[in-house]
Amino acid sequence: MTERPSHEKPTEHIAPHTDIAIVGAGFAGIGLAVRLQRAGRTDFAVFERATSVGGTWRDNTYPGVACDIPAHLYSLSFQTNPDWARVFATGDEIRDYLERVADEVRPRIRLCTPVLDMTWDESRGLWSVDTSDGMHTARVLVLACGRLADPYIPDIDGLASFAGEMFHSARWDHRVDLRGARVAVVGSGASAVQLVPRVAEVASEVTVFQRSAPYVMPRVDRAYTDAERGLFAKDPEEIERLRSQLFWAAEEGFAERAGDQTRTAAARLRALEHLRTSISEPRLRRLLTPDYEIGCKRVLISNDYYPAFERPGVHLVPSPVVAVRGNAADGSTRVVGGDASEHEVDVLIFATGFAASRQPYATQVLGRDETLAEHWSGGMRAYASTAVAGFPQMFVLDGPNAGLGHNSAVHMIESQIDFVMRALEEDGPLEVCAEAEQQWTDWVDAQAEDTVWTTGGCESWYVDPRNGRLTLLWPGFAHTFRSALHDASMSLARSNRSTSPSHGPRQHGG
Amino acid sequence: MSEIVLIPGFGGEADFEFLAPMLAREHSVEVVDLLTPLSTHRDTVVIGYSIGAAAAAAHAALDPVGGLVLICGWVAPTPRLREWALHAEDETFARHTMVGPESDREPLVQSGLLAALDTSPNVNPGDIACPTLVVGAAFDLVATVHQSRLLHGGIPGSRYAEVPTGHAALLERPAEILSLISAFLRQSAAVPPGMPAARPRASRP
Repeated sequence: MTERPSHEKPTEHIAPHTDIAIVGAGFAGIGLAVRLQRAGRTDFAVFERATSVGGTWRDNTYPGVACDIPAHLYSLSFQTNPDWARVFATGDEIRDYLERVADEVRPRIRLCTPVLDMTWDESRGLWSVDTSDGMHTARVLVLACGRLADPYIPDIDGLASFAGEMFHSARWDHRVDLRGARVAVVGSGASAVQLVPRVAEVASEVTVFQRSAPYVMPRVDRAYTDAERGLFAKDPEEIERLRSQLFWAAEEGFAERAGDQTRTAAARLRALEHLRTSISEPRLRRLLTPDYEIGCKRVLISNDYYPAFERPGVHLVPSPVVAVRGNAADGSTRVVGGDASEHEVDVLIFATGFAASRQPYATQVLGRDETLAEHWSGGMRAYASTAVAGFPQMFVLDGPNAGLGHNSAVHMIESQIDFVMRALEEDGPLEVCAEAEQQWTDWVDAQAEDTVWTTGGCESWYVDPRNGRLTLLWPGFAHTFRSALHDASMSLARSNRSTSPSHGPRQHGG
Repeated sequence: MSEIVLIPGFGGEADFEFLAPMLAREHSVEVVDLLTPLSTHRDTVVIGYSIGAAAAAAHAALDPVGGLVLICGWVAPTPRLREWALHAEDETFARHTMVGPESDREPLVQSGLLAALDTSPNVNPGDIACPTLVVGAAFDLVATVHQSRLLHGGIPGSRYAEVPTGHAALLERPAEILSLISAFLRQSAAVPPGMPAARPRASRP
């Protein structure tokens, strides 16, 4: 067990208490808060470390930030929005949307209040939540900390000596003027694909360091007409119909990831055709051709990423950055690629993703006899992606195997919110046993076996590098996640009412 | 893990292009054609689409099976269905009338449907004893949703679900139909017959 901060002194003074404490005010935290309040459960508090709500959509303000899932689907089913301007929403639009959703629960959100430690108090059957604003207790703790919350910056030799401006794409420094600048973008994932075309419009030079090439599909986007938006506003059923159509069409995409070689091949050919028609220069096309199966890493959608490389001054380096070297003679610094090429740049932008498989918040949670990070030392795991053995009355949203490669993350969050809402209806203590968690994890691991995430021959953030387990993604359909969590919550409820010590998960074999 | 037999409609194997590999991730799946005599066990689940649903229903009425799924099927070919098949020799007409109003997908169109319809068996739904899922399509101008509702009415152990598609339901909403079938396979033992089919919802009010 790691050494804990010494806040566990007897709290004889009365710490503020709520029935439920929610950590994080992104899609998951706000969504749960609204559902709780509408169900009449108003005794909760939401702790948010930042100055505003919105989670990943608050953090990511880089030029070009937008969502890859259609906006009507990438929103909460109980708070739809008739006003989405286009099929795909921009980051600004989603942030504004989340601000509006949060208005309903705003008095219960504590902004600028980082949570330092969360400790299970066995004797009192409560969670002690140590915040920057003092101690707080709660019967139930919900971790809604997100999965893309903490930027990951690779360990690069000499990085501290870099003389220019540098920042991560999720911490964009809007004071830095990129006009005429020589910019290096490290990474070629979802953020890079969106920001590179925008940066290329203003910078004098852009050098993209690509560890591995992404598959990029065309972005089939369009503006909604006034008539469509008017209809969405006048007849909310129309939004329901559209959501249903978008959802089930997206579900078909899972077949490209598992069990259907024909669809996988068809998807690969579509993406490669997009590359072929976008890039004419053979060497560049070769460098932009992925060397793994489609879907293994996140499939991106963009119409302007490939064309950006045809602009003068935009270069692709087919390797990561390995070093930053100062030049004593002229005081400049150079960025060195894995191909030994050296590039003098003014601005270094890391589009290198997030600490995903080892969530930093896990070190701050102390359950019955270990920290969550210790419990997850073999990779993240939870019963029904949501409840963790040894961590009573605690739920994790957006945690183990709750992400998707083919459909809306918001649908997944709502499936977990449903699970939490049903679990909260139980009177007794809520805890899953280790055996139930193990059975669930074994089942998920088995489901992952024939998917492209484990067989596709790539290195992705979906897979925990410590043991090769797929821990970030749900290896199935979004609708299966919902029905599996529904059945899991029922079995949790049943075993809670019976004397059985085991909360065995129901197998979803069909 | 169930043993599943899929009986396609006039589209042949292409009708189950999505369902067959997805069901095969968890079950033993065989796609047959309309001409092959069916061989099933007491626990085989038979899934039929369109005229394949008519064949599946007729088979289940004679030879007990473990479960039955009837997608866009019919109790008997109606005069309306025959008339549609007659006009379906016009491919444009057939394509436009096979899909629902929200779909931009292009169904395969076959010729000779009218003659094939003569092979469609009549079935007495009351003779079907196994748990059955009937899936109707709200905008089905070919078989009509009413025929699916009649199947549901006549089969004692039937559950019913509807998808917002034309007759080409497996082309327009294959994943939704997969979810209905998965729920049926999982819950057929647990849910009393006559109740609406359980369906995972894409959205909640």
